[in-house]
Amino acid sequence: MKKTTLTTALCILGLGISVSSFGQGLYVGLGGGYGFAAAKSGINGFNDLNVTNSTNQTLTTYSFNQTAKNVKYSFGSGVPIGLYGGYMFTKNIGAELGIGYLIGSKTTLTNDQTQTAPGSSSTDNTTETLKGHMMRLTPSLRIQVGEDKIKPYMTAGIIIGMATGITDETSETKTGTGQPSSTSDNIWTYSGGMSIGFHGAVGATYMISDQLGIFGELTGNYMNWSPNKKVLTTATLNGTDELGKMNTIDKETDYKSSYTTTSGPVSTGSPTLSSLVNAPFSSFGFTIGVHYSFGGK
Amino acid sequence: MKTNKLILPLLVFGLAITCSTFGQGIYFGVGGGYGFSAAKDQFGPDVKTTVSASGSSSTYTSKAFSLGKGVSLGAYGGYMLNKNIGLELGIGYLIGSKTTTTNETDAPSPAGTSTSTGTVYGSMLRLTPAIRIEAGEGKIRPYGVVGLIIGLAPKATFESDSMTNGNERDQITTFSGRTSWGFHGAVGVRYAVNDKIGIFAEITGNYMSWAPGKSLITKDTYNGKDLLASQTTSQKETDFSSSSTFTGGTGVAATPATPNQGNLVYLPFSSMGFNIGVHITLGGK
Repeated sequence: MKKTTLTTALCILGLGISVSSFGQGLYVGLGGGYGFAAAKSGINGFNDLNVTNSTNQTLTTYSFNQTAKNVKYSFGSGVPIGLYGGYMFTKNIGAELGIGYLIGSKTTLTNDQTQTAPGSSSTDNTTETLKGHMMRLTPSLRIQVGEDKIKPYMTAGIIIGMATGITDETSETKTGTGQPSSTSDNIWTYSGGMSIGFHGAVGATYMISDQLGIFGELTGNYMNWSPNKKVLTTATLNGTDELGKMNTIDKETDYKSSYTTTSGPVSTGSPTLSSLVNAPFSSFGFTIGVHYSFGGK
Repeated sequence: MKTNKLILPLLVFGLAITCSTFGQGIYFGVGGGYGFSAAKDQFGPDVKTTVSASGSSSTYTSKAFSLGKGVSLGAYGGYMLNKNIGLELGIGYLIGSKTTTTNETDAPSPAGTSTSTGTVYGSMLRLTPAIRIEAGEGKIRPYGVVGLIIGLAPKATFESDSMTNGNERDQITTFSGRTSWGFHGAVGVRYAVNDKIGIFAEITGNYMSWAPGKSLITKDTYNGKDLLASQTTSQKETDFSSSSTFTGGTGVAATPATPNQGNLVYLPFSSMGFNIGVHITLGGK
């Protein structure tokens, strides 16, 4: 078995060297950078909320004040790391495949509510933190120009998102006159489903030698993702687990492109069914890294 | 005045010819194509409900959309700094295609059938400052274009139509205001018919979302009778902003003559499609 694996690897390596000697050559590279949120969306919008209500005892006066601030987000923001390999068919045109992983940055929302009345007051403070991650394949075309040490290039292709996930963590603290304060924590995870979008980059490689170069590029990845499933993985109230008391219908949601419900008793042992939701996963940022050309072109 | 108007274009034309002789040349082109929805969001499911004596059944089918879907027309002009790299500015217009969702219920008499539809489409004037990288020496020249897309005068229209028990309600709401920007990219091939004229075909991606600044109900009828005249400004108009404050309570007067306030809502305006067109190089390269 080991012999077969070794033989296969040697064959591939040999093929690579042979190909590079006939054509413009194989190349590989690796790099990392940062992507800022782009093509943000949110039909329902995410807002930071600050709400104050106050009443007097006889309810003859009442005041209400709410401030809502937009929170712009895309789960595509964060640190991407990855590597790529490809083949230049001519000195200008190549095809490549990249593989990378996105470590998403956090987006935080707050909702603070205060109620006051003569002799009593209460507060309800909620913090919600979301972040995503994604394994990404990027089959692309490369157009490269320049004869000297500096070689401008452009890549354009498809980005395929796999093993994608979002974590949504909510922490809520309630206080009130004459009542014990309470704290609840819930963590929902979204998973399943592939996504596809557009990958593009424009940059330049500085060749340190015939084969080795360093590159810097502006990178855009544009896609949305529809999860297949949402699961409540943590639910505590004042530190005590609540998950054990909950039914599957309360803990799980299956997202379907099409589904049918019928009237009658609802099975609490099955997940809730829902139409698809889309989460923005686009980013625009930069990548720096190392490029190695076997062909030495 | 007429003389001045004539001199200006002649100067620009003269400058263009002069530049083309010193550098790799000025170029411009026109084209059009179609963009399919990309980076979509959910518009709302199609719902089909059947009610019978024994109960009811509802089928939900997801319907995703992007306002960027539709026919795009445009022109561009640029300057090749050398034989491979150029800078260009494009201007184009998107005539958005419609996306429709339907909610239909079939029930025994007397309830009967009720249907409601929602239709949305967009339009946008777009500027695309970009970098062009071209390769190849012969008649076939592969190229890539990467840059920004700036959405001007974006507009979205939402039409709703419901029919219940023979009564029809029609409403049209338009969303407008604010600009947007995003990423524009294309990869394609140009076939040079001669030194100056070529035809191109490219795959184009435009990725952006847009948060309108205002919504306005422009039509609201019930069985053909206009309802708009009796509605207040706050019922018909909403101003969207990144931060909004609402106050109310005893002694706080309602303000029906001013628009309602809302927070920004981001709408998808991305597309991926194709363009074909004609490319003219003044420098003849």
